[in-house]
Amino acid sequence: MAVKTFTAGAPLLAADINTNLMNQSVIVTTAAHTSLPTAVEGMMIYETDTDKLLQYTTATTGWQPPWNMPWGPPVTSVLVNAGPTSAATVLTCGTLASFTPPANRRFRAYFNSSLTFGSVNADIFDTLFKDNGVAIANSFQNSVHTASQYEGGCWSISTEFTLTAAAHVMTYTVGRSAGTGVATIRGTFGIEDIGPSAAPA
Amino acid sequence: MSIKVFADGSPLLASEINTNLMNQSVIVTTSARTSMPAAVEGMTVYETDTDKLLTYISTTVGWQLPWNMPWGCVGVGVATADQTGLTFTDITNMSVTWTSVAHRRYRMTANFVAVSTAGAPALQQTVIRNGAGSFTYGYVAHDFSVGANAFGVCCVGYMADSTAASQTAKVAFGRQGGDAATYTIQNATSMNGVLIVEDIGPAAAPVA
Repeated sequence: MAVKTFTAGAPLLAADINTNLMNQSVIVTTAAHTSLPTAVEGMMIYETDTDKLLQYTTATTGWQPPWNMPWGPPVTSVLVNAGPTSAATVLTCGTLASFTPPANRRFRAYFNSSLTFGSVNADIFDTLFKDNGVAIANSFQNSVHTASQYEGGCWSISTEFTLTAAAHVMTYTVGRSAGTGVATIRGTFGIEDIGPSAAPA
Repeated sequence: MSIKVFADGSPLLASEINTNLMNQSVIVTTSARTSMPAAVEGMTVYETDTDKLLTYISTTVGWQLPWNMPWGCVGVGVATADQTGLTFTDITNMSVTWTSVAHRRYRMTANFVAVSTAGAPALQQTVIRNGAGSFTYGYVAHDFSVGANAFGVCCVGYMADSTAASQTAKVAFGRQGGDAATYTIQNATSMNGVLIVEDIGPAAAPVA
């Protein structure tokens, strides 16, 4: 339905109230935002072609899901089946699709290992989450492996962190810092928005 | 309140505008809620000074995020200095305290790096537990029996159905057997241990 702008002196029909006041408390529109009035902070819309409930925040941050809620994964997680690693070379095991978040959001990255093992006793493998090739703080973990030792469960879960309002490509890497063996890494790598870190820009 | 269907020719009363149009819209206000009508269940506001979308749930629960959705991160505890000589001890600063609403579910995720002393360490354990240490939210047993080395530790805990109270989740780590090894929680030199607590959704209906 189109958005109706009421004018002084025009009759107020029941249909106008039912359709334009009652039904557009949350404005039903599409991603094109055709005929949408000038956005003001707090205005809510539902986009029928994207199935998104969005709220207008600021001129910089624009239309977003409600700011004070977690937004979930910005991109789809990936299955990792990488390796064996090669000597001490750091292997990029998983790469997520590029995404561009607004500023001032919290994220949590995770790698849930289904199977990770080394080939030589006392190998030490290091893991890192990286943002555009740069290590994310507090995402480093290292682990000692006996030969063919499993590392089931969550091998590495990163800290909470924030990202700038720019394109980001997240990667999960494994390298060997001691020993002579190689590792094979299988699991799921993903990222979730877990809520706001500050007010919208 | 119920949904009203308007009819041609009927008078449009102020009470209908107030009750059926204003109160069932998303009311843009501030956290002071100046001139707000009396709250009724389901009323929804957006506070421009806090950037919060809130819904009135009940007299007891008050204004909260929509009840049927996850509410996200409630706190992060970061250990920022090495902690040595652990046998089985709470990790300093890997602790989060928050005020929970009754009947919410919470997930706790912890990760850190531990280093064992020389010797023959056998079994280790990581526990996420409450402030008094009387209830365990998550537990992982380890067998890092390869000597004096570092290893990454991860543990996930859950609070299945909260009460309305001040809650604390904290992380403890150490040996569970009788061996002589002690451990260092390695912070600053490689990574800081981190505990994240998140609201992941409702466990039951809100308290009236």
